[in-house]
Amino acid sequence: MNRIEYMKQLEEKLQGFDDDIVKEMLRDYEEHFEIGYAQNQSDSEIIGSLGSIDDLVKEMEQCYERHQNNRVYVDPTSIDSTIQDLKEGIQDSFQKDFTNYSFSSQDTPKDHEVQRFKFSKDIQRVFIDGFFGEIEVYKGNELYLDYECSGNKKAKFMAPLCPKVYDRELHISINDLPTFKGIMRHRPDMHMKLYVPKNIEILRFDNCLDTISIADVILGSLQIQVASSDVFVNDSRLEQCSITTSSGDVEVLGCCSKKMNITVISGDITCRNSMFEKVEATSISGDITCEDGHVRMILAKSVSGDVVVECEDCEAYAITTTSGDVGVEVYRGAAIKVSTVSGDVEIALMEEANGFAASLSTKSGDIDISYETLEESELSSGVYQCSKSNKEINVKMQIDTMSGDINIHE
Amino acid sequence: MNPQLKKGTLELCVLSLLLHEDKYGYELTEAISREMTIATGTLYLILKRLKDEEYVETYLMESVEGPARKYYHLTDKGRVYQQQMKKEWFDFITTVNCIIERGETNE
Repeated sequence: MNRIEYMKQLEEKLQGFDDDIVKEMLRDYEEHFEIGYAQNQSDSEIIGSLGSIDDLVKEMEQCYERHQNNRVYVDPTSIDSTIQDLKEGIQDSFQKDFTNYSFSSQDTPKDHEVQRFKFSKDIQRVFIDGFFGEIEVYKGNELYLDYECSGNKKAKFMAPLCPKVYDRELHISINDLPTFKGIMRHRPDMHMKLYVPKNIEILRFDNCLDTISIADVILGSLQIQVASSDVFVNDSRLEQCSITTSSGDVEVLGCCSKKMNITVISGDITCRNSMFEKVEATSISGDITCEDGHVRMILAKSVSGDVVVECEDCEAYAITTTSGDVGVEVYRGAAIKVSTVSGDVEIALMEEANGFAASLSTKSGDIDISYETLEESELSSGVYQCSKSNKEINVKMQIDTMSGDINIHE
Repeated sequence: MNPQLKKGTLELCVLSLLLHEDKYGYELTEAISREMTIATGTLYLILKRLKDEEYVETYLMESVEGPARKYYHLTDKGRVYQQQMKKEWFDFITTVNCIIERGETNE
């Protein structure tokens, strides 16, 4: 069949249908041919893609009724009637009241529901990825969590908590039902209370959006990598801990760990009353404060935040800032290295100290060193007397400043 | 794909395609048949119905490739209708999906 034959047959068979519709269809079918030719297609290829004329007519007739040899146009199925028909069909097969599950455009009332998930004793590693609500972590006899979700029915159905267990690992995340990505406007309010027993090796949080509070737990390794959440860790014993957050604050109180690694971009880092072998704190614009407690080694880096370190037992200080001020209280013999560009440096060498090696440098800031107990001082490296025990104290100082002042006083 | 489902949703598809841009018959056919095999005839019937209900307007524009083309334009009334239909549709599929999920997880 060629174009002319096809179009002639089409015109014949569409007789009786609405004039407007027929005219338009014919015009568009002609266009099909034109475009097909432009793509170097043959008549038969184009006709193939257009389909059978009889099928077309049959399908159109379903929407028409015959009235005295004239075809009277009847509404093709609209979405209302489709949905109505489907609803009826579903209602029958489910034999439940459809309205129980139907979500009308109005929000159903919000209600509070707490789901408890319990997990086996074998689990050693817990990973939480992508939780939008607040997370609290406590000590428990076994591993379990309470998931509280308050939102209307629709919101809750959209975000079920999906814990998965692989081997000895527990992975928890929220499953965005795939169909609804992008149209989910109402995330429910979620809250998670996680209880961890002693034997957990790794507890890791990724991509969480809200505050994470951890209290009184004993863990192997705590890893937190979030964007804007605040992180609070209290009274916990960890072998090692690594916290990264972009704009949240990090507060660690009363904890004990070998290695504490905290990185924030604009939040503050506060470590209080804790026992760490080594603390590595990095912040771009947040302040870093480490006070009380026992810390053996501290590496603090900040660009514009201030750094304050007042810990006993600290033997090594390596502090770098660009414009932040540095305040250090040294309680024992220590190696101090402070380097800042425009920040001020204040070192207070306390009573119990028995020797220091300090390398302090600033470009435009001030350096201020005070000794609590020393009687005399000289403005250069040398030996300083301590009044209390008349022991000699060795102090080696290397002080550099470009335009700032250096003050060393009693 | 269930033919009944296709027919019912074709109207919503057409309206949605006209949201940002006026299109002519051939364009609409092409756009939709890219995603699914459609009943061409039904499409034109739907277009006629939409015009009768004043959800779309038509105008002619000269074309290099042949006779003047009839363009379809979504009216304000049509926009409102499209929004309503879209909401109804999503509410419906949300419900059905939840029932399926519940049925599958045996709650």
